[in-house]
Amino acid sequence: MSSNAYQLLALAARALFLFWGALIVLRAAFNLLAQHRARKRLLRLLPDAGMVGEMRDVESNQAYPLPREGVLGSGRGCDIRLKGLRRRQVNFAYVDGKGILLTPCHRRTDTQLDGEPLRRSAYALHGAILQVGGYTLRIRLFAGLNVPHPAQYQEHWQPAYDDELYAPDETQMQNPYAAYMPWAQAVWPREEGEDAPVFNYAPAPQPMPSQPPQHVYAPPPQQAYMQPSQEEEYPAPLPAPDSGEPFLPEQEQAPAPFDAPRRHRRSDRRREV
Amino acid sequence: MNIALKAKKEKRKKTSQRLLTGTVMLFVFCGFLLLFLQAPSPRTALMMAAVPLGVWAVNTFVPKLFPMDGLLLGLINFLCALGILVQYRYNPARGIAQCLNYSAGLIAMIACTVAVRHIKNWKLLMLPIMAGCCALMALPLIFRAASAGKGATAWVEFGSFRMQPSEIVKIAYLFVLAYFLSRRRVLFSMVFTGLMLGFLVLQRDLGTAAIYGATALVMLYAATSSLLLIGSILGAGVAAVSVLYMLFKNSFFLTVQNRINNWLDPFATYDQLGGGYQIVQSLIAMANGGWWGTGLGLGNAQVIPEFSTDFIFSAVMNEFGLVFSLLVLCVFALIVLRSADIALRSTSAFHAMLALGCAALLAVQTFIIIGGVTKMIPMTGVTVPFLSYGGTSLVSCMGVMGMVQGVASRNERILQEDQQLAEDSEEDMP
Repeated sequence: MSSNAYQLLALAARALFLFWGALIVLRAAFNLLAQHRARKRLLRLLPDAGMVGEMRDVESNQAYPLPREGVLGSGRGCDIRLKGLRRRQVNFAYVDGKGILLTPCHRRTDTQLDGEPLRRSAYALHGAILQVGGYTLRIRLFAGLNVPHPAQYQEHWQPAYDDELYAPDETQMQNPYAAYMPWAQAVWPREEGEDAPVFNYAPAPQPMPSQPPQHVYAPPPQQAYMQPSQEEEYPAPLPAPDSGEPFLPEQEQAPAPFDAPRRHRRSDRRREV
Repeated sequence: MNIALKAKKEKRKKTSQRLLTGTVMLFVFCGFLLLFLQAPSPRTALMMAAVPLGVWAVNTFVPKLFPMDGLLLGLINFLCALGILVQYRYNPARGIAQCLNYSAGLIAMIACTVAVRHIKNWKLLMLPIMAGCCALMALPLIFRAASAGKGATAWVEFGSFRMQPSEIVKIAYLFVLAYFLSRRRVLFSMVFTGLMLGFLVLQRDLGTAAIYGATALVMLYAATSSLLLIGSILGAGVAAVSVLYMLFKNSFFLTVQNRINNWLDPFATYDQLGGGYQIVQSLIAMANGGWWGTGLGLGNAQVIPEFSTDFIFSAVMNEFGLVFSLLVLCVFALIVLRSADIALRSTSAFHAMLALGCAALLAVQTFIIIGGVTKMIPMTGVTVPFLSYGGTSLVSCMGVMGMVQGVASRNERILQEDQQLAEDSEEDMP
């Protein structure tokens, strides 16, 4: 192509390049805006998007939405702000498959999780009670989240034990699990002269802690999940051979039905109206 | 949500992205067609087919294999394709090399996306990353690589392979800052930033030091929302630089002093070695381009010594004109906006800080180089993201964008999970 012809073509192509450049920018800008609006509409339909549950003040019944990650305190940047607390009191983060990881921001703190002082990181499940400052907050997680059910931990739960081995009586020597597993007698029938089977003695059943008032739901002590590394130290409970129900000692009742809150929907608002 | 409505929205989104991809492909194809008509060669014909096809393939298949933000990817590809076109127009060998750099950058982007999306325990990685940062930053000081005459000693040479460690460290630096700032370790973040700035000052790479410092300030403000802290740091920084400048005015900071003089009056030092020749030529090239440009293949930006790296924006402005250059700036602005939007959507502090840091880094780098080229601020040796020639620069910029893509895909996954949970909950309701 001759130089002059090319020059004409290149000069004409400038307009084309400019048009395409403008088209790219406009398309991208409109695309960005449209996606932004679509997302806003979607979030309007899902007001709980990004949240994993709520913290409910037991006394005032006030609910605070619980994001996946954040800080509880009185500071301006906190995700859950409560007056009277330190600027940053507790960090929380949802960990898939484990629960809400609570980490105190200060070493000296009066924060308690299920009655235990929160001195290091600990996992809280649905129904856990967090006492912080003058507040008593109940953690409620949405249904459908991948978190362990409190009852799963209850199977591993052992009563408080003060390092003294329980001296079993004669009956329990014959079947140390008798108090826990009445059916075990059928599994291991004893005959005269037969050596007693070797059992790892379970600690003595201790009286349950005083029950909270009926209007406040407090889960049973959950020592095991507060210290996840200790889970493996306890033997897994044996399943009952004849009944399909999970084994639970008599004194340890399963918690109330899993009353996890439902996510809100737009139809909820319509009903309210 | 209604399945039909969801499918319709998805279709509309895909159509919109396809149109964007199609426009970019047309743009690049016509650019190479013009170059082919100017000087027909099989190589140009190959590029004419390969680059648009590459743009299409990346925009179509990569988001399917690795969940990514299609809009962000489309805009990045447009800038990269423009860079390849301009490089090829002035030096075909560099254009082809830039294609290879783009491939390496794409791998870096995918790697960063996958890392951000899947790695959960960053705590274990922090120590090795920080040690790696320090080792890489110390390399140029040990090797004292070439380019002593150009002011900075930020390069390392291994045979024919050259790299700028501070560009690679950018990615790791953002990870470290985001991790510690998301955990409110402000002091540690400041110490680490000070260490990195110290390395960069010793390398006399003040442009990169400015990028690192400004990015850290933006992230620090986002983490603490304390203007007092930012003001104190800025004040202390200015005081420290002033004292250092007064102390080492005639030795260490001679290059800086020259650059400031060149910025104040480039025509006065036009004919001196290390004077304002580049800036003057850049200004002339931009003025020559005018509003609409000289036309592709008709410009003369090659008179600028570093036209393919630091002054690539002048070359674009020369041939495509001021209006088109403003559109390119709009594309940068859209990328930054999109990244900031992704940061705001994030549900985790670490990922939000990461995406925000990436957006800030890109914005600061673009401002510093384009401000320098247009004589708004003193010129520093920084590349224009995605446009400039250079493997390390392109790899690091695409890696940074990969981090944003990772955060975007994570946000999308969490939103989908929330949506699914809400739908399941709705089905369970009596």
